[in-house]
This record gives sequence, structure tokens and C-alpha cells, in this order.
Amino acid sequence: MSTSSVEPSFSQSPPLWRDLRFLRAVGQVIFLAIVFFFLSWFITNTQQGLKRAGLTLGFDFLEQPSSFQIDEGLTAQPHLRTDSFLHAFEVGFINTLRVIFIGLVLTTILGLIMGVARLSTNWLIQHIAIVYVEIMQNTPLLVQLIFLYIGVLLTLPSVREAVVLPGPVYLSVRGLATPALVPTDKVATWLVVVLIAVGVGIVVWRVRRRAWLQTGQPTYGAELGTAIVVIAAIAAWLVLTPFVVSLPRTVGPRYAENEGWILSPEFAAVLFGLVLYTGAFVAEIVRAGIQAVPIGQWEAARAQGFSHFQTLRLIVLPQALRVMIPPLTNQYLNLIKNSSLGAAVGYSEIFGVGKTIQLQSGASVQVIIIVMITYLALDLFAALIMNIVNTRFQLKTR
Amino acid sequence: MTSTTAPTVMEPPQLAHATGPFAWLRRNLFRTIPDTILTLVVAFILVSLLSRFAAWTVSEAQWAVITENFRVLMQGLYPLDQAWRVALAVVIVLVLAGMSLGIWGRVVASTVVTLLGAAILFMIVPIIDGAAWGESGLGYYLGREVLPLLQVLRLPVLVAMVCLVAGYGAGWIFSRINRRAASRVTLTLWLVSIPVTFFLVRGVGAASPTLPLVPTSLWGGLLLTFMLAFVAIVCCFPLGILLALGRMSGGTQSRRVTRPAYWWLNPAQWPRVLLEGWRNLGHYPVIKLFCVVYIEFLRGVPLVTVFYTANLIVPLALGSTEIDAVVRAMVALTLFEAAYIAEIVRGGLQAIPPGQLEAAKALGLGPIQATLFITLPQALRIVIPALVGQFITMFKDTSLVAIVGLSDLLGIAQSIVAQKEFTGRQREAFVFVAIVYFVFSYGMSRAARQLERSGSGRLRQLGRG
Repeated sequence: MSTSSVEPSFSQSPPLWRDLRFLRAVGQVIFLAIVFFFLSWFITNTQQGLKRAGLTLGFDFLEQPSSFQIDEGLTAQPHLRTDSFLHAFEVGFINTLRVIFIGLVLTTILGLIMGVARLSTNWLIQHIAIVYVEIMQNTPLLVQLIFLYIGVLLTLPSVREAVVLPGPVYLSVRGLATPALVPTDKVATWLVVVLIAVGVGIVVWRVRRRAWLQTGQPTYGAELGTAIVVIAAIAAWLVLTPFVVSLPRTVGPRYAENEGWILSPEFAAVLFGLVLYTGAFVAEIVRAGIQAVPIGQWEAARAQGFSHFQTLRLIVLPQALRVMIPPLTNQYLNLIKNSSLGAAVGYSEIFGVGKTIQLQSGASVQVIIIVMITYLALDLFAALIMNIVNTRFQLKTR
Repeated sequence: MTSTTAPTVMEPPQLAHATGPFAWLRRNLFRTIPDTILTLVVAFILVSLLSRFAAWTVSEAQWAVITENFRVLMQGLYPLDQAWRVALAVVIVLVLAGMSLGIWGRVVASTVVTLLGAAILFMIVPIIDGAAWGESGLGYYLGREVLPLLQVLRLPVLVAMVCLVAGYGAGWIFSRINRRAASRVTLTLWLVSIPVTFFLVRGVGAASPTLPLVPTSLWGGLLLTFMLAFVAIVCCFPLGILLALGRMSGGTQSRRVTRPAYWWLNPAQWPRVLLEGWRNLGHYPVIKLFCVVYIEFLRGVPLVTVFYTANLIVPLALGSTEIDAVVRAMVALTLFEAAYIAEIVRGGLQAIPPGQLEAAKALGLGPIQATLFITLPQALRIVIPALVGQFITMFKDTSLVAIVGLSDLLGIAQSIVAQKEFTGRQREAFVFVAIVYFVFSYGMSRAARQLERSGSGRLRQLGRG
């Protein structure tokens, strides 16, 4: 035992029933026995129940055809009736990932904007942010999602009378259609050029920065580096045209396929619902993080001649981020878990697909195991990444 | 409304001491030219959005969907002749809430204004006759659509106000006479009220003449939402504390171990590292490991999947002994939220300086006594704000039972708008549901903030009660 040095050792050991180590061991064995008994009772009962219902516990069913189709995915028909259950799970998983990735990015942006707006000196902006945060935080996400889906998106006009925003962005009961960038076969070459430019830019920035630190003369290293990257990227874009803009178009009662980026109403509801909800919590974290930096830091930076932007970038944000990252991780994990509510508005993410598969195959235990393990894995992965980020930002003390 | 980032923005000198509405506008809306542009653009967007929303509420929304289904939304299928029991339970809880506010709370002006405004509005409403306005279009609409809704809400709101004020007065007077006794009595009453209200709503037995059993399958609407949240909050709290203590058991100091680099590539190192990990679990490795696995597992999966398990797999496991869906949802919610409560309580326990435990040991207190009387009370005091925040989350989380087919407030609203006669009235129904949730969540969060500010979360200081 690790603390055995703390406990006094007597020449005569105490009787067994007063030996703390023995009592601890007995207590834990009893605890383990109870847990084990309960679990085995639960598992055998479940097996018997499954047998009564004529179901098995194997995972063979995954190979069978699913006999339902999914319309939501990266392609127009991602899952057909003849594809296997496993394939349906894959499609659901991809849909979950889609909503999580886009959602995390948009949530961070919205949270940052609203968190800064919450601290704005402009009364109007500040109060808009306050009202937004209070409404979003004090109503359930599920109510927001269902309201957004049934109350807003499904009451939009049909495609023929779609609302057209500048862009063009079409808003209709069939979802949202926005212009999209479609990569051509030159995209790999363009990416290589941009990567090389980034490398050159970093080298230039470092060299000029060293010169600046040695001589004290301004060398504009960051500006020069950025200029190199931007000019190279634009020049290569003009020469190679790595992406073409694809504009959405309406054809009769529907959108033209493969033109523009078409978001189904279900996807739009889940995405915007999650972003608006989680964004409110992120905004509060951003506000608390900035407020956690003592006001003396701002004043000291001003006294040293830092500009406003320099103060923010070099003094305040590094300190604020340190406070922000742990709660931010929690909110990111919440967003990942809450994406399962997409099932309530008919979005085919992994939980919704799992529900359908359970109805089709009756394999309820296997489905719930697969879905839970998927979410655990996603959460662990996100937590791992955020932990790495966290350790980089933490204060390095002795 | 000065912001903390103010020092970075230069105040125009002529504004530094100016007062009056113009100076306020200048300082808060039109400080600089970019600020002015921003204000104008945002104000334009806001006005256009708000005017559309106002046009919808005042001329399109038909609130009959709420007024006609008001009782179902509130109580579900709870038998009408027993409805007084629910009302009595609500009155008990409201009076107790008012008493607590009178003893521990401070009255904030904005709260008083809101409550007074609501009370006056709902007292005036029945006096106005809808037909009297019948001439103009707006008056006709208000009289036909909005007035019935306010009339339906009138009695509940007024009763709630009276209960709160009566409780507040009682609590205030009691605390002036004997503050300590008042706190004790109110806390005891809260504890007693939990089983009392539960059995009042549920009933004691099928044969009982006054309180016949109302099966949980008949509960619905806001009643079900509240009962789910209530039971889960009450039950998950002790469970969460036990889990937190289990996770903290056997000391927190882990030995620093330097492991060879890339040890996981070498199978020969695995037993050693596993053994070290086991030793780092302290004196109670089995219990600690169980608590860690339980907490981390439930915190890693979404609540819907837990409800889903409770709905599909628990009936399989229990076989013929039928437990109805509401109880299963209650148990699932309790087990799930206990993991979150455990993490909050653990945070509080870790914030207690180790000297407290050492002093307790030096005074001869055993480990159980030291936990019960020294560390746990201090830890709970620290985490009160976080706990209330989690309780609000739980209240909102109860809406997820609608996904597994229970008829809570949201579930009832969904089934109402699915009826043919109410098609197209989805917005009204869900706006109403959202407002109900908002009123209670916002009220709780305001109370929590007040609690935080009044210093209950801080450790006691010399000279303060």
C-alpha cells in the first residue's frame, strides 16, 4: 500500500477483525460480490427475455439487408433498401460527424461573437447578447429544435415560391440551398502551392522577427509573411482555378441536384438548433474568460505602449484562453452528445438510424451497445484533443 | 451599464461627466462613428424582425389551441375529480418557496415589478369584455384570441402570487422572530413536503376513499415534467454524493511514476503499469474503480440513449414484473444525473484544504465522522450554485422523455398539434411550451444567482451568521 509508512507498525499485529487492511478487503469483496450478483442477474434475465421474444444476441444481423432507405448523407441516395444494416450505421455515423464538425466550428464563432458582444460598450449590442443568452439557456434544446423544424423550417414556402436571399440562397420547405465551391482536379496542386507558400511565409516571419528582436528596428515580419501566403494563394487560384462556384438552381418543385450546397430541413434544424443553443453557453464562457483577466493587465499593457489589438492578442487572450478551455471542452462534448436529439426531427444520425434498425431487426441490445460505444468513442476522442490543447495553454510553472 | 472593457476605449472628454438622456444615448449607442453605424444597422435588422414577430403574435397567432387544451397541457389525463390534489401540492410547494425567499432571499426590484405587473394584468383581464373592442380589427383579434388565453391563465397565476406572497410574509416575520429556528423549520418542511406531495399526487392505495391511487400512466403535461424533475433531483442528490465520496476514497495523492517511453509498445511492461495504476487507486481500489467507470460512462453517453435503454432493455430484463414507463424514466434520469452531481460534489470536496481533514483527525474524529461533519458540509456549501445550475439542466432534460413516447409538456404539445383540428397551430403550441420552461428555468437561475451573491456559497467568516 502506498501509505503503509504512515500507519504505525506494531510488533504484535492486531487481531484480524480490527485490522484495517483486512476490513477494507472484506468490504470491497462484499461490494464486488453485490455488483457482480446484480449484473449477472440482469444479464441472465435479459438473455431469458430475449429468448422468450425469439431474439438472439449475436451481431450477425449487421450483414442482412436493412429494407429501409436513408435520404440524408453525402450523396443523394446514400443508403438503399438492399444495403446492409452495417452500411446504415456507417451512413448514420457520417451524418453525425457532419453535424458535429460544422456545428463545432459555427458554435465557436457564434460564441466568440456573442461573448464579446456581451461585453460591448454599445448598449444595444450588449442587450441583444444578454437576451439571446437568457432565452437559449433557459429553454430546453429539444423544444428549440422542434420549434425550429416544425414551427419555422416546415412552414417555409415551396420551392416554386422560395425566399431568395442575395447569393443566391434559396429558403424553402425543401431546405436551404446555398452556393458551393466544387473542387476541380487541380485542387491538389493548388493545396501544395499554398502549403509551400505557408512554409516560406513562416520562415520569412521567423527571420525578420529575429532581426527585429536583435536590432529593435521594425521589420514587418508578420505582415510580410502573411502577404506572401495571400499573394501566392490568390495567384495560384487565378492560374489553376482549383474550385468552381456552383450556384443552386430550382427545377420545378425541387432543387437541381448536385448544383450548389443543399441542406435538408432536418439537417438545417439540427445544425442551427445545436449552434444557437451551444453558442449561448460558449458566449457565457468567453465572457467569463475575458472578465477573469484582471483589469490591471489591460492597464499595464496600455502603460507599456501596447496597442489595443496587441493587448488583446498578447496579454488578454492567452490568459483568458487558459480559463476558457476546460469549460469549453465540456460544451463541445455536450454538443456531440446533444447531436443525438437530431432523431427527434427526423435527421438520420446514428441514434435515429439505430432506432429504425431496432424496429426493423429487433436487435435492441446490440443497437444500443453500438450507439453508446460510438458516442463514448467520439467523446473520448474530443476530450483527448481538448486535453492536448489544454496542456499547451496551461501556465508552465517550475 | 458600464462594461469592464471600458478602459481600452477612450471616453470623449466632453462626455466624461455629462448626464441626461442625450449624453446617455451618446455614450451607450453612438460613441464613435463605427459604433454609430453598427447601432443603426443592428437596430434596423432588429426592428424589422420584431415587427414581423409582433405582427404574428397580434394578428395571426390563434391561441385557442392552448386555451382548449389547457388542462391536458398542465395535468395530462389526471382525473378531473382528483385535480384538487395536484393544486394542493402546487400550493404547498409555492408557499414553501415563498417562505425560503422570505428567510434567505433579498427582494430585487425587477422581480417585484415583474410579479406585480403580472398580478395586475391578470386581475384586470376579466373586467375587460372582449366584445367591447369588437369594432376595430385589432380589438376584435385581441378580444377573440388573446383574452381567452389570459383568462385561462388568470386563476393559476393569481393563486401562485397569493401563495408566494403569503409564504414570503410568513417567512419574513418568522425570521425576524428567530432566524435560526425559521431556517431549521423551513428545511424540515421541505424534506417533509417531498413525500407528502408525491403521495398526494400519486395516492396511497386503490381502496383509499380520500386519496385513491392515480397510476403514473395518467400523469402528463407539466405535472409529469415536474414530477420527473422533482423525483430525479431528490433521488440523484444522495446517490451523487455517494459516488463522489467513492471516487475520492482512499486518498487523492497518487504517486508520481516515471514510465519508460513507449511502454505500451512493450507487452512486458503492461503488468507493471497496470499494477501501478491499481496501487494509485488508494485503499479502496474496487469501489473507486467502480465509481470512476460509472461516472465516466454515463457522462460519455447522451441522455436519450439512457432513456432508450430504460425503455427497451429494462422490460426485457425484468420480464413479467411490469414497471410502467414513467417510473423507468424517473430511474433512468436519476441514475444519469447522479454522475453529473457526483462530479460537482467532487469539485467541492477537492476545494477543501487538506488541513481540515488533518485537523479533524487530530481531534480524534474517525473517517466517517470527519466526512459527515467536516468536509462534506463545507464542500456542499461551495458547490450550491453549480448544483442549482445542474438542477435547472435536469428540469430542461426531462423534455427528452418525449422522444421515448411519454406525454410530458412537450409530448402533449406534439400530440395536440398532430390532431387534425389544430394543424397549422404548431408555433403557438411550442411557443407556449418554451415560455413555460423559460419562466421556471429563469426563475430558478435568478434565485441561484441571488444565492451566489448573498454569499451562501462562500465559507463562513468571522462575525457573519
